[in-house]
Amino acid sequence: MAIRIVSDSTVGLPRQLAESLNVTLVPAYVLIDDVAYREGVDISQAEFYDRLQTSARLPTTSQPTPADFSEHVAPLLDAGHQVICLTIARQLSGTYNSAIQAAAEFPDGAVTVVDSNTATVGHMLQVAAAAADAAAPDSTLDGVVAAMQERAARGYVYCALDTLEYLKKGGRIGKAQAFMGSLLNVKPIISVAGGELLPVERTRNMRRALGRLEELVRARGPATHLGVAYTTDAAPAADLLAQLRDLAPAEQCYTIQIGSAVGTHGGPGAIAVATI
Amino acid sequence: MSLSSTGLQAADWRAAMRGAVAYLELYRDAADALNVFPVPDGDTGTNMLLTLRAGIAQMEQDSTADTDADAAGAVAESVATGAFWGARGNSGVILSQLLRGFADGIAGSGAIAAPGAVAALRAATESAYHAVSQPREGTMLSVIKGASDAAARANDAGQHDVIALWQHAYDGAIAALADTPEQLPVLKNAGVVDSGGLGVVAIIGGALQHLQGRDGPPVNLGLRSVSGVIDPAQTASVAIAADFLDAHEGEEFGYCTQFVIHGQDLSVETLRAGLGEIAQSTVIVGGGAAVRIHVHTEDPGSALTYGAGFGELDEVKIDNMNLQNRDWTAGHRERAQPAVISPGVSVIAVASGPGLAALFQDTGCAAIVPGGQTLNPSASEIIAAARSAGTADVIILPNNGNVVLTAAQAAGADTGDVRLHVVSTRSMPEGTAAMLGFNPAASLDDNLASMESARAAVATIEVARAVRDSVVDGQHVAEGQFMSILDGQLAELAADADAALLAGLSQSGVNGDSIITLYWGDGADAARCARIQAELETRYAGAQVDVIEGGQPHYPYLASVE
Repeated sequence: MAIRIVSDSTVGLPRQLAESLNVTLVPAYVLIDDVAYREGVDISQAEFYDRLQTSARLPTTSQPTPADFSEHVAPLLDAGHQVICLTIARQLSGTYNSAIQAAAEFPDGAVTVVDSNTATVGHMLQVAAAAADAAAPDSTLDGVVAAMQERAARGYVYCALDTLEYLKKGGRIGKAQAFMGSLLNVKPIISVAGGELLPVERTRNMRRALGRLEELVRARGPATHLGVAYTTDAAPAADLLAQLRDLAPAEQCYTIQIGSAVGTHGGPGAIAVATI
Repeated sequence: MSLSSTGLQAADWRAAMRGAVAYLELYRDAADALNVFPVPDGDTGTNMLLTLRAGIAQMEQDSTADTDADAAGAVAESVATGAFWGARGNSGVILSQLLRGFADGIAGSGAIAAPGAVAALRAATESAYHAVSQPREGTMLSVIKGASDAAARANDAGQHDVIALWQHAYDGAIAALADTPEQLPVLKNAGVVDSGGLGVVAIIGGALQHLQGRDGPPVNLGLRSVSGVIDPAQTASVAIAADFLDAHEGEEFGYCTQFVIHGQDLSVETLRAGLGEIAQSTVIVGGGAAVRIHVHTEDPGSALTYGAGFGELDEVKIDNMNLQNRDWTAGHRERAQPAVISPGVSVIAVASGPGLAALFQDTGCAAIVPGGQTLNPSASEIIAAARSAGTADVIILPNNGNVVLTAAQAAGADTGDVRLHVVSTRSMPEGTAAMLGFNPAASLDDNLASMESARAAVATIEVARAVRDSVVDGQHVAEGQFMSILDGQLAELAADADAALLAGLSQSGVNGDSIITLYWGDGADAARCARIQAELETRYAGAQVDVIEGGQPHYPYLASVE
């Protein structure tokens, strides 16, 4: 009997890493030209980003259903594990609600649901940290949950976007609406923290946006975990990680590709960075 | 082409009339909104437009059918005839009579030279005054008279170029329009200029634009009411004093009654005397076989019965002015409602040039106040725009050294529940940089700090042509030279704008990491900008060069380096 972490697939945790951390991923859906694909299962990331830029209609995303959560959680409970679900921020997605509904079908206390308050690589670092806590020999459910809630409370991700168009079309633009600036080809920086998507800054090109991401993260000081993420361009993400890697232990520095569900809203060329 | 010797040909006058109707259309809503006299019923602009359109339709029809239409005088005759039959409302009927007088003043002329234009404007004025039983100053009558007098003075002073003369007529009309609130107390009480007068200015100004070869889509002419520059796209820029609305609410205005009488030897004087007994605002035009009647009366039936005694009635139109007034009042009340003020910060910008205005809107400005180097907005215009933004704190971007003080004055005024703040941007490029530093999710203080530092982080280059010999920053500048002004200081002089721009940029600290934003306006074009862009990308390898069509007046180029 152990404590097991379940997350939705929007976290962007690579499958091998998920397996080595004993993390179970519940796939979100992405709908392209009326066909539903399970993220990371039915469609590769390369194929997805190609379709994102060429599909006549912008893909849409859909959270995992309560049944999807139940289906993934039930075998873990049957095996005698305790389960904690850590989801993408509830203001951005119905995933948290699906997880809560699924949890209600099981005995009280069997499944705990925690909102990461952030997304993509910010969420991913919290999953990695929680999986490590859960695997510790003296771990307790209450202790792991308390640590997760503490990290979620200060969780964040900064994201430099090539354009706000995808966020706008996907209906997730929120307060970043006023950050449009298509005539000047503005590269906006947004954050997801405290559950909310917020405008941070506008820059005039991606080079300056990446410079600002570095400054913003460095201003938060040393960390236990550092991660960068990209939708289509790996090289700038790798450069950014190289610039920042003195902030965290080498074995807790990650570079991931953003999955299709979040990528639908971030769009091609987006770069994200987070620490905890 | 020397128009001073040959005068305006038929084709020139047709173009002028098309310009007139295009600009009247642009200012139609503003004229409707300004309409307080004789009855505040909000239809002056519409009536004048429909009347002039009828004249233009006749003109276009005759231009293909009638060989006499090759004469400018015949073109004016067609416009007058069409306008007579299509005249609508008090102001429309007066306009039709004005056009009738103009046509009579140049009847038989093949071309309109300077003396002919003076005579035609004078005849137009006399004819318009004659249309009204009790002419009042401070109306469209005074405005056409102002135009006519100014043209006559210029001609007496030796101005024989008909287009230059028309410019004088336009200036005279604008001056007369500005005087209307002093002449007619009801306008002063309402805080507006005369609506029909605005229509006349738009007509003369539209004709001038086209005579001067600017025949593109109509542009904001910068015409003013008492409260400031009228934005023709926004009726809200035309405000009526609340006291006036209160005082006239529920007043009975009766019916606007219009008809044509077809008969024989019809006498305008007889009809005017007879109808004057039973109705008000009597405007009667025509004579002989047809007259057009416009009256305001509580009893339209009696006016029609009276008219039917002289011949057959045609084109009968009766409007309930009480209903029209209620709609007009409600419209102004709704627009005058103070915006709901919620906590938060927004930005308004002073901008000139359609491209720059669009840019500020695109980057999230809540409102744009038209203005710049030569068209300085007033503090009250800035305050009105700030109130429309809807947030408790509003940051003003003056975007011109001449506007910074006015903005500070606005910020210092008592504006109740809206607090104004200024980030002292002295040029449009500084303004756009500051705007990108704005974050609606951040606090006021954070925004003021980040916008100020964004403003300070850019170098600005303004390229302008010297309009006279002068000394600028200790240097002699000859008329026609192009000045490159770097952060407000004269940096370079050059024979052409492109050279001035490149020279100014070379002093701005630009390098391969720079972002250069180039805004082109009057006196520059996209092709030249493309060449400059290529040149800059070669000179400063790695630099980003963005080119924006700013459309700003006076400055062929504005640029920022950051």
